[in-house]
Amino acid sequence: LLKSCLVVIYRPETEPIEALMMEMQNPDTGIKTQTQRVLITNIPHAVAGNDIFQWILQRLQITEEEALHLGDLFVKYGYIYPLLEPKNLTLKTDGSLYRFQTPYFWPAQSWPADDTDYAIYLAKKNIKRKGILEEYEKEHYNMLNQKINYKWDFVIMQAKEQYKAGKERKKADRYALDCQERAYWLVNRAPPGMLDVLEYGLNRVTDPNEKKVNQVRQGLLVKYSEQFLSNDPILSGCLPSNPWITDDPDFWDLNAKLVEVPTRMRVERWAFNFNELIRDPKGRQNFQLFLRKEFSGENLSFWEACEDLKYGDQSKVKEKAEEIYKLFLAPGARRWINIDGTTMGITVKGLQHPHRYVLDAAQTHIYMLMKKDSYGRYLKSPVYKEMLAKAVVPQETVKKRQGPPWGLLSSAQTKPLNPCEVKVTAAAAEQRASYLQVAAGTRLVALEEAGFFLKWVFPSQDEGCVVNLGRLNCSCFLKLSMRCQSQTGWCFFLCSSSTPQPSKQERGIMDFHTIVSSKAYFQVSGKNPPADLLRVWLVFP
Amino acid sequence: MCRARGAAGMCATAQAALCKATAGHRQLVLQLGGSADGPRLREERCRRSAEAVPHPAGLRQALLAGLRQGPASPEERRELERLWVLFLSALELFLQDLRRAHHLCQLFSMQGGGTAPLRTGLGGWGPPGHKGSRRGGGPTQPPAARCLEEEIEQVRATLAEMESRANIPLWTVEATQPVGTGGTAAPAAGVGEERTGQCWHPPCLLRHQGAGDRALLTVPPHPGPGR
Repeated sequence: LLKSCLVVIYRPETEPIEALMMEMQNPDTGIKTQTQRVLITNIPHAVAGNDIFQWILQRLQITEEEALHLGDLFVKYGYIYPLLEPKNLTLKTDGSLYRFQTPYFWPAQSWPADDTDYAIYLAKKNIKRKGILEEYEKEHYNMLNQKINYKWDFVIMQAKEQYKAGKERKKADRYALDCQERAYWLVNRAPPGMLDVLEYGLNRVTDPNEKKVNQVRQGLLVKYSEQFLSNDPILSGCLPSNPWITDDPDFWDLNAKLVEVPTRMRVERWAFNFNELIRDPKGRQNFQLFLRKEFSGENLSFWEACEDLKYGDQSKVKEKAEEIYKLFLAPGARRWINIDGTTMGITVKGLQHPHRYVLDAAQTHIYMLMKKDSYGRYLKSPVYKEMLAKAVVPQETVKKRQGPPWGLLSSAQTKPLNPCEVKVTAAAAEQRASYLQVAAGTRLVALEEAGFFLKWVFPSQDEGCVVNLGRLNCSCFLKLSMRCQSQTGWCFFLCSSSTPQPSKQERGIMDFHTIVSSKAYFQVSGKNPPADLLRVWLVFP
Repeated sequence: MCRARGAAGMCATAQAALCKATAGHRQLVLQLGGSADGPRLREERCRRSAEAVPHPAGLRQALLAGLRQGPASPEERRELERLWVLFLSALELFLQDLRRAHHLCQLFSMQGGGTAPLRTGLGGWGPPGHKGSRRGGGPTQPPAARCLEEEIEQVRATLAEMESRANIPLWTVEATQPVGTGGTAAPAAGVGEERTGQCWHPPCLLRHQGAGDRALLTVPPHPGPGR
């Protein structure tokens, strides 16, 4: 939109809008000015809104709508200010008068509207008009008095001096200067109710100090993650085994939709929240058993029918809707569900022109009813408890492949490799594992087997450590990481076996590299806090 | 605005002068790029700026000396610190305006054809009837720009030096001026401020900083600042 003006005068330090403003001054091609009359004073250089609008239209060759919008923005951002209604920052395409703002007050300048300046302005206004500040200005003033109290004497002094300096000018100039300044602050400290384009001040739309993540949602997310941690097959493993790793599909069989006997974890999950229960077909089955005992089985049936309407064959929507009505909703229906009058009214009306979501209101009502009423009792009921008792806990199969699940790179192999060559045992200090040698001078604190985590401590920052990995039957990747205890993150040092110097230092995801020989050398160096723990992960493909 | 004695007294006078010069200077910078802009305005700006610039040096010496040699009384010390903060604030404002002036002078250069200033409603600067001539010519590097750059550097250096020399935490300084002068609600209104009529007096003026519980409107130990 504004590129066209760049062709004419473009100087690197000029913003496009500024360039346009300057063009508007051209005695031949710019906007013509008028004189504003204020009581007995004449102030030159007023421009009519319509003239501005026409000029933009003509100059940029854009549509009227765009030109109006652009002109409006000029006013909102304070390049041009209205004379008669200072707070109405819009462009009127009539004879309403505006004036160009002095460049000092242009918003494009790389200095933001300063709190100190604003305080001085308000103090000046206070002096001038004998205390007539608007309510929001008083609030600002008070707030600033506290915020920058240490320089308040300066603020008052400077306000007085600026006021005096202003009085030295002739009346028309003084008026224009006042208008300019007022216009500037209306843009930069917008009064309440006015759109605050620059988002400063008391009525800022977004709080700059607020953390971006919604705290409530974050809390819920954390709760959810904690609750489901044990059920997460990646984080907590799954029993009997992860089929993707072991190629044993037992896990899937045991968790089939309507398996005879569900697993314990699954049944426990039904107690997390109502949604977990109702989304699990086995859960629904069990829940229905309970509901029948309470003679409210039609609720769940209705709910299921609604789901079928929504997600089932859409060519049969009309018939399905009719059937549902006859069975559940019609007066005297065989399985009449109890919903309130309003909802019933909406539903019946909607059924005149049925579609997949026509029963949403009723379905939600029934859902909430079950959730708030039946669900609680269900969890305490013998039906549920029996199921829980009956539920199986599969045995972990022996054929498990070891290694951090997420480190596994290829699943093409049918035969898992035997990683038992690298054996480490939990030990006290000074113990050496068969295939792990640590260089002299390194104090060995503990070695433990935790999916190949080996830990030891460097006594000092610049010590090196050689890890002899002994004989390995296969190539593997060496992943090194070091954790500085004072930090929450990980510092990674990756070294190659061929060069003794660290080849890369990265945070976060590390590169893998193959160990050619069975030796890896690495070194801690640098200005970072000394690493307390070193972990070596051996990840097998 | 003179204090009864010593370093603080001299400083206060110099401070007032700096404040005045800064205010006048700002008003001129405000008009750069506007209809009052012209060689005369810029000369005037330069002149005002030159007025302001010596003060920092003198003030700085005096304040530093006062603070270093251990002033006569804790009140004097507090006063010097207060003046220090005021001085710093004035310099910051002045420097800010110098930078803006520099930018605007470049944007609306007087060189060659120059850029037409904006019609901002103000009259030309200078004696009546004289419209500031815009035609340039003259040296390749206009004197105004050089003048500005030197000034900026000078003030910046002064500020930097001040900030590194004296270690005065700003928040310990309390204002002696109430928010609204001559307020009706203040019992201890004998601060001696110049009353400029009925001014609005916000209800909450007490600072809650740690520097003791002196209310904002307590009378300072010395007689109020007079002329």
